[in-house]
Amino acid sequence: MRARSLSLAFAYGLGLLATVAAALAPLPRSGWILLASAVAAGALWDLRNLTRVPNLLLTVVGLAGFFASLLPLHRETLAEQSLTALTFLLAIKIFGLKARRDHLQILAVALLVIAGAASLAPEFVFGALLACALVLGVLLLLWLPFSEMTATVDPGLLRRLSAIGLGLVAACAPITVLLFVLLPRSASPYWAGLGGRPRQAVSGVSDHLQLGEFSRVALSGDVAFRAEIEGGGPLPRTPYWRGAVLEVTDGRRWEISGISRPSTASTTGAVQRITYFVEPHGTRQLFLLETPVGAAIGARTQTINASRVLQLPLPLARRIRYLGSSRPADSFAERLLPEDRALNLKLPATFPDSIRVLASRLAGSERDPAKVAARLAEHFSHDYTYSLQVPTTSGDPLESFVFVHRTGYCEYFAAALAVMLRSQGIPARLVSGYLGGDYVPGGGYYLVTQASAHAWVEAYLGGSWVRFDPTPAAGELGSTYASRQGGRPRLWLDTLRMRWNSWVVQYDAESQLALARSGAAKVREVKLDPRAAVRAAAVALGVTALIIAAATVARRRAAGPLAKRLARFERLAARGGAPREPHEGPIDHAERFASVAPAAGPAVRSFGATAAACRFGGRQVDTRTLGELDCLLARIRHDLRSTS
Amino acid sequence: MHIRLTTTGVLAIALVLAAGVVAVNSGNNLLYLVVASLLAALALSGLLGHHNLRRVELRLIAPDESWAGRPVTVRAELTNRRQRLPAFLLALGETPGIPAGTVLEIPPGQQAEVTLAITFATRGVQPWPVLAVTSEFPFGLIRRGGLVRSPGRCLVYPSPLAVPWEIAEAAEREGELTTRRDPGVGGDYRGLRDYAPGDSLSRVHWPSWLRLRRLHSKQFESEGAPPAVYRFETMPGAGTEERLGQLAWLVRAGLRRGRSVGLVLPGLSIPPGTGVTHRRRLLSALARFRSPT
Repeated sequence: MRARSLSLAFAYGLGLLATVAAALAPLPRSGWILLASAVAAGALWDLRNLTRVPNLLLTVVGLAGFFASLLPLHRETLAEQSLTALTFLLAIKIFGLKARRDHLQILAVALLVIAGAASLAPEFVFGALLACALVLGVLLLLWLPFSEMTATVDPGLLRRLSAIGLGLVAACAPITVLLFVLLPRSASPYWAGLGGRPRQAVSGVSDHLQLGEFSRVALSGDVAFRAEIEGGGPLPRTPYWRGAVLEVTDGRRWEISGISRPSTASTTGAVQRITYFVEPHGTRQLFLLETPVGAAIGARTQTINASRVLQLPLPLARRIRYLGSSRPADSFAERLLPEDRALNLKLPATFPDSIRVLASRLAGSERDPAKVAARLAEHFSHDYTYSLQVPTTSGDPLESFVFVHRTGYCEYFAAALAVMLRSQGIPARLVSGYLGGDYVPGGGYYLVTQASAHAWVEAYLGGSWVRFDPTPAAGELGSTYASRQGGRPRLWLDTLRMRWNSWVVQYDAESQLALARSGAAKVREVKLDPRAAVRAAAVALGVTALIIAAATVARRRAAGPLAKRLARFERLAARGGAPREPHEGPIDHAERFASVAPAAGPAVRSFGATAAACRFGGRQVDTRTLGELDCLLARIRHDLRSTS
Repeated sequence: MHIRLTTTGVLAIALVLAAGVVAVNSGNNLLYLVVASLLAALALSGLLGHHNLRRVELRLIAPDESWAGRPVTVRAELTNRRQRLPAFLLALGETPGIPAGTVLEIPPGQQAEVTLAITFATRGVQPWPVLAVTSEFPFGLIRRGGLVRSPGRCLVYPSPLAVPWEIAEAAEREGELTTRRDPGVGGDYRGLRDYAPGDSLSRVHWPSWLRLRRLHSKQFESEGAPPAVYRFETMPGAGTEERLGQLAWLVRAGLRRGRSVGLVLPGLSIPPGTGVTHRRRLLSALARFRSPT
């Protein structure tokens, strides 16, 4: 095998990894197809030993393609454009691969392409690609200098170099982790907002709810978010993840009111802290467990309004992490202003009388709003079935649901109960969010998919908003991710994805700060016991001394008897004012030493000559010679002492 | 210790810096990973490169003849005295970065040989020049190494300087008058010596056998040129070094022509002779000559 072929193979390997990254990223197909073609054509050219295309031509084409991919610049697509341009550059470089410099440029651009692709689609597969590229890069860098000095590959040398390369990679890993954690992060990177178009995502939660829309979402297995529970362990009961509060309705469509008031009630009771990792979904809603009391995105504390929801100023285009504090409860106290009461009692203009009549009949003579609400909610637990297949109707969809089909999904149940409550003078509203999710024991977090999207009702009773969920068998709604997507292996895979996401992709300045704080807190918690400290120090000293002694013995054994005597001679020389210079051999050194210490001159010269004869002249280092050297050393020592 | 970034090293550091700037400004953690791993690789490559040169020894082996002012080919032995790790990509030269010879790998405890062209400026017993042993291992990003002087010395003959023929002839005439010709064939009778196996029977001196019952062979002088004796004082050169150079030239030329050559230096006289050992003796005397003044 030719040495150059091996370095070419490494370079083509890097090209292939970049091709896979470009193919997995949301980029135009032309990018990765071009890259794959360049790898194939380059390899073919090399195999057939065809005449290379002139470098100048390739450079011109490369630059033209690079700038053509970048122009015209669009702020929202800058990342994709840059990556496409880099892909083009890499394709040209791979095709024109020749010198050592080309190999290095390929390594650099391939790493940039993989890292850039990961920023567009932050999946852990890119981490694996990057790791492969780094290993390949190390092997390439290691082999390149050899490939310039030898024409053929010696299998033994290759084996030894591969072992060194892999050892180097293994040794690099902990340093890489340390540097990754410590390298300074910017709290608000300048280019963070550039590029990365919001992905077309289907979300079960938005600022409105249209009857009939949900069925499309419910079939989606896409991950909505992951919620990592502080302290670990699953929550004691199926959690309701709050998204949007919808108060305005025309009978078919429910919307948020757009009014946001600060919360007035104080919250008591145990608070559960949860870290949320939300996938980009293109809406402004964020999710919080049941009764949210606080939230923080990075260092910025977020205001939880009276509706207890969290909204972003702009639709979510990239993965986000935030911390939320919630009280797991069915209700929360909140003052209701008259205008809000009116809003939450308002019925649609086309509200069917039949539903009002039914609500009145169900309420009967009961005057207690809580009992009335319970009776109305109870109504849906009999003779109604849950189904995503709702027959289309030309009339009022709610009337049709309540009286004709008696089948539907959460939106129908929730909307029907809300308007029935309003018709009885009880303020009510819809809340959309998610119900349940898969608790992943290995990761200590809930995995919530779009299939868990849900809607329920909140009724204002006795100064509190109380949750009612009229959907039959609500707890079993939405098949779980594990059962739907292929069981436990998928959950393990998701744990990897989650860890990749939380530890790598979303590690930022705030995470660094939090890590430093927790480290400092742990250090502060450590109570120093003087006795234990002394004991630990003594053990550490002992172990260190043992290690040093073992290393010295090993070094001496490795050095051999002659090297030991030469070392002694050098120590004596240093003491006598003539330390050995790096370039000096025994004779030169002895000569200089003798000139500095003339009294010891004969012994010193004799030692130098004997040592040189042993080391370089093939004289046997036997007991007699060693004895002679020892005598000379003793003589030198004596002469030096007598002089001083 | 010589440590210098190579062009590749400059490129690699530029890449790390560029990736670092992009990482900080974009917040792309994979770029941070790239930067962190490249920094780690750079740091470890420094350690590995340092270790690669440890306990590697240089020894130069003197050639048969070295002439001052003329390049001589010297064998350099690089020995890896480590017990486990090989030494890789060693370059040897008078100037770091301009290798005169390279070695791909020296297995632990073994040695490799490189040939170098070295020029000594002056004659005499000269120390070896300081040589640069460098290595770009492992990544070719940093060239590190040191200046090493091989133990031992090299005997350097004076640089030969051509002499006019009349001077050479005068010296040869003097040799003819003052010395006997070398034993040989075709010349005058020289004397008897003990018979040695291989002597021709026609040379056996039978009368002495009859008288003494011992075999003797007759010896004759050679028929070729008479011995030449070159004298330091008769050389036309301006100074000692020039005269020594002229003597070296004459010795070399005389011996090459098959003559028996002798040398008279102030305080030293070497009778005429031939052969490799004699040639070495003459030239060594010239190389080691110290002017009494």
